Amino acid sequence: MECEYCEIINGKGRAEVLYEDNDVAIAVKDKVFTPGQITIFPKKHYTILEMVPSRVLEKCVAFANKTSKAVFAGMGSQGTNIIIQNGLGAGQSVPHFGIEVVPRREGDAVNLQWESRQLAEDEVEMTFSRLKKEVPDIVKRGLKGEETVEAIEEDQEERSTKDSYLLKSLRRIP
Amino acid sequence: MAEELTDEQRKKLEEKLRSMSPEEIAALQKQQCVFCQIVEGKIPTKKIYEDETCLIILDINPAAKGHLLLIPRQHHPIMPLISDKELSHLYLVAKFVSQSLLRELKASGTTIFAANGAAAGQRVPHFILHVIPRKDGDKILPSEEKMIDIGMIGNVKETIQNQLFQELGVKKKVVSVQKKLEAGPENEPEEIEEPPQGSEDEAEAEEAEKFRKPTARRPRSKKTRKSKEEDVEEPPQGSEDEEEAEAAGEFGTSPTRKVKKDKDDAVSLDDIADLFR
Repeated sequence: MECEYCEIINGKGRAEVLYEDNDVAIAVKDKVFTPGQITIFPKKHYTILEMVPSRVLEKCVAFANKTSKAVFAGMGSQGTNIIIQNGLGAGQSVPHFGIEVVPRREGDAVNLQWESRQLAEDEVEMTFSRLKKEVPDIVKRGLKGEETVEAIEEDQEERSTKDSYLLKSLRRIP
Repeated sequence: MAEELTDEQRKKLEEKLRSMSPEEIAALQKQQCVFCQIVEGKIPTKKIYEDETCLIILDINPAAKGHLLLIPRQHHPIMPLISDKELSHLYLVAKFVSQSLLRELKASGTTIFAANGAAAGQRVPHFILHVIPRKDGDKILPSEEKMIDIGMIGNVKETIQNQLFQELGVKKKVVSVQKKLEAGPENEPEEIEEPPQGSEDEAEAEEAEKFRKPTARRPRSKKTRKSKEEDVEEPPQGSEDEEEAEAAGEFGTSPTRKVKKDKDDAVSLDDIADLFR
């Protein structure tokens, strides 16, 4: 297997696994923002956030929060950044979803602060109206569990047409 | 508004604060907090989405077009103070918002970013999530480049694992410890006086296992650490008792080693994922 995180789970790769259960692993890897950084990732290979089923994501998030607490208490950190780099464009370096818990200290010389950009007003308006129109629907549908995973929808459609076919043929029996 | 207070005024203020009930203090906090004001609609914003737990607005100082802030309605200064349930909800919403950004803005990635504490760049003591659409070369965040060596990885593990297990509540062990304590709390100190030295072999690991409960209960004062790795600069609270580390280590390498690859999830966002190939 080529994926770095999958290799970590299989005991290869330059990393130490701190914890693992059936769904999630918590590990220290060698490529980080700051030393002491900890990565939480699902054991199953999901490339990006959107593919991670809600149940697994919830678990990852809960573990990330606990890891963050542990980092505060255990390493005497003054802060933590919780970061999800999602997709190549975001600088995600391993094609396997993960949450990074980055311990921070005053003056640690790590700059995770972006510069804000001036946007033209009409650009902002356009983005706003577009997102306002689309986002609530997608989120609500998502939260209801009707994830916009077309494959699943198709699957269900298939099944339902099969069902109805069976039903029809049943009904046909006198 | 930022007038200097005289000493007398300050004293009065302090007294007043002390005499306030927790509810009153919470109310005051709300008045002072920008995000609470936004939640209450007292500051105009470009609101994209809201539900009972959170709302989403356009960031007025965006890193990129479509940079969103996901704000919990409740005033939590930092993430560790948020319940798992609420936090899960926030991240689930973030997931679907991220999905919308990829789709609507044709972003080639998103960053979900949270800062806990001023040292992490947090400016307002009200926990929020940033959801930022990303493009190659936008330089919004640096990539993870710092390489740390294997020894360092080991040190991190040693420093943090104990604490992590506490947080995760590794239940198996806790239960057995309690039983032990109930059985005979008086003789435990003697047992503890002789912690197994040298963490290499398995027999000792077993012993460590036995010891684990009583030691877990005591304040962490023991000094039997692996000496070679003591050059970590982290403060000592994190240092493990050796036997605990041992037990923890055992747990870490426990049963579920194999990842089964289920049938591939076909997702409409495959293109994003495909970029990796």
